[in-house]
Amino acid sequence: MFKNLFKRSWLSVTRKLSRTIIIGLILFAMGSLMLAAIIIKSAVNESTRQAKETLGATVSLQADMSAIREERQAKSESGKEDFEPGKIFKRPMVSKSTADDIADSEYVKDYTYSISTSADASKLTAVESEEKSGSDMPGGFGGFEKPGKNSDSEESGDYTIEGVNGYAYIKDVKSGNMTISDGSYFNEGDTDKAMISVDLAEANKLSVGDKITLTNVYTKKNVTVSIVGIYDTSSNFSNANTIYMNTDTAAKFLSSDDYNNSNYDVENVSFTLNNAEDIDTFVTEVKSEHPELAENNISVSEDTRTYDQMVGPIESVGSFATTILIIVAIASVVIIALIVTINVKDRRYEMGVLLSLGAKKTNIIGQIFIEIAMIGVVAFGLSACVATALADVMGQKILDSEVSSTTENFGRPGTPSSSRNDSNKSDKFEMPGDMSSMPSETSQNDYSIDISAQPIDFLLLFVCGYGIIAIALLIPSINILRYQPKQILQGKE
Amino acid sequence: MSKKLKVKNLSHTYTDQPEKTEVLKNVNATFEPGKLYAIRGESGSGKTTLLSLLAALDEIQSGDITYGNKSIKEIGLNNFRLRYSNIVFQSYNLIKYMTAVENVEVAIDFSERKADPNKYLKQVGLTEAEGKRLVNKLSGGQQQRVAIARALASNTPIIFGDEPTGNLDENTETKIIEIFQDLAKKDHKIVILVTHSNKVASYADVVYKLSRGKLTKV
Repeated sequence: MFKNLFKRSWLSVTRKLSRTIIIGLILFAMGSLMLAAIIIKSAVNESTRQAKETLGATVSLQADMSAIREERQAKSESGKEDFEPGKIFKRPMVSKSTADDIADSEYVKDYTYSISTSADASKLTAVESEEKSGSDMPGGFGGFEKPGKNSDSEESGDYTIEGVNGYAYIKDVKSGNMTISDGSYFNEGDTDKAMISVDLAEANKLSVGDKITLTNVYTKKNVTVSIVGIYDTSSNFSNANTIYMNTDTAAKFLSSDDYNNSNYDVENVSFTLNNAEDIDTFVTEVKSEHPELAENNISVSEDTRTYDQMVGPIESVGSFATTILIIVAIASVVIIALIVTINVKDRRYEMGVLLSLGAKKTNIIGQIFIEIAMIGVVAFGLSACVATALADVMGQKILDSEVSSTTENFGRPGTPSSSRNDSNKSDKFEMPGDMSSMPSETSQNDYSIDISAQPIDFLLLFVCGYGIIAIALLIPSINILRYQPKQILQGKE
Repeated sequence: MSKKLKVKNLSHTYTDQPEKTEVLKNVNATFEPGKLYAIRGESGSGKTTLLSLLAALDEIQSGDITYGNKSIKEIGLNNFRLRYSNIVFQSYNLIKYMTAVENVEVAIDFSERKADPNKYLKQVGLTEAEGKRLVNKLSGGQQQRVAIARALASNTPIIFGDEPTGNLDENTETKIIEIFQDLAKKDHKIVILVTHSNKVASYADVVYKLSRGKLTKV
């Protein structure tokens, strides 16, 4: 019976060539667009997965400014604390031991922090700074104590010591505002080496290779560092008296007890995760294991900005591919259903004959399905030959368009940041012209998707294609089920 | 013992017309293997309706049709068509995109047995060369022979013919009638032909006349 079914289908397909060609062309067009969309979609998924692995995700511990404001406001209103504009408040800090404990998490690949303190140098002349008061930090922390002090003292030295994990972690470097004008930069392992500003070098006639001795204003410890580089910065928020060095060197300014027990404050604590997908789990873990962070107004913020900017346009391409897939599927169902309905009407005598010979109606529906499925094998096979090229063109065009749109949006003043705050109260907006809103490591070339067809894509095409054919056959099948052999053979149908 | 086809108190009314029309009124008849039957009647007398009911192409409204004392309703209409009956139409009703051989093969496949289609084509007087041609390239007489060969190939004990010679010339008509006669006599089948033709009737062992819904033996 089944051999008969396939034989009849084969004869119908090969003998009724005009109908076969029409259905074949429709299935070819449908298959090409669907496979292109499937290839794009799977390429997008792969790119997104790789981006998640490559970029990971960054979770930062930072002062929860809105919580601090609310707390100050509440205290002021209740009379527990007099609110005086300009009064110095201690900024919430994270201890090194807490940061180390969080970094032990299985989700963390790497973590960075900085140590900030204040120093004097008897043999140096500090550079006069116009922007020094209350705004030496990007974003402006006016009204707060300068970060990094381990004492409640309001005493401040002439020089700001910034210990960072490496040159690349300096904020002005990240934002592209810092260049090396002489010498070189330092790495994480370069102890007792420092970078000073051009202005400070000129004011003191210092050059690369010279040594300077700095005295911490709190611990009074002296540390001698060798100048390895002289930097120049175009940032409006930079302080010419800031001296950069690695964290180990900066830690030498601390007392021995504090250093050995990790009993000192660090800032700009940032954890890079192994996988961006773990971000929510990690944040939840940190919050539950370290409730003191929230009590001290320190938020656990995930920074997905780089990830969003990199992956956003690619995901838009994926959404577009899904839309194409849905539209093509619906259109295909309608067109195939129409063609088969017309075809079934043309073949009602053949069906009547088969019914009079004892064929079941399901057998006849099966024959029609097999006929289209046979045409589908060839049509979808041909689609496989052209779909990769089609997907390449389509994907790249959509991606280019999305990238242009995203780039414009990120560069626009006042655009909200994609940094998500755990309190969902983020009111952070990019500052006009602030290039930090556009990660410097992201270039136009970074937006690409590797369009290549995988075996699973072809399998999906056949599954979706035959699914569509099956759905499209539902309407003509209802007609076939209504047919009575007598009416067909008497020409009354 | 050979099985007989019996019609018992069969009535049929068309309800899909402006006025209800009772085309068959308590029809009774018995058809035996080895005999050629002719059913005659004027146009609209209900011949084709009776044939459709006998061939299980239509649902029985009232009365019964039995084969081997078993109701065809019990056998199942589809199963009855598959295993016990085949019908040859005036308009041949062949599958046009198939050759004569392929049309016959369809019936062989449905009967779920192995047979050489050329044997049946030869039996109705068609050559192997003619068998390889698409049926719409054959003459009317040749197409009717293919239709009969298909009926033969289905190997059913009952063969119906609905005006099987209606579109044929006189010479071909004679040859086709003789084939039906052989099916009854040699193959011991029940052969029932609905016809206007006096010639067909003259070859029949039993002639029935259908008039005003009543079936009477002539």
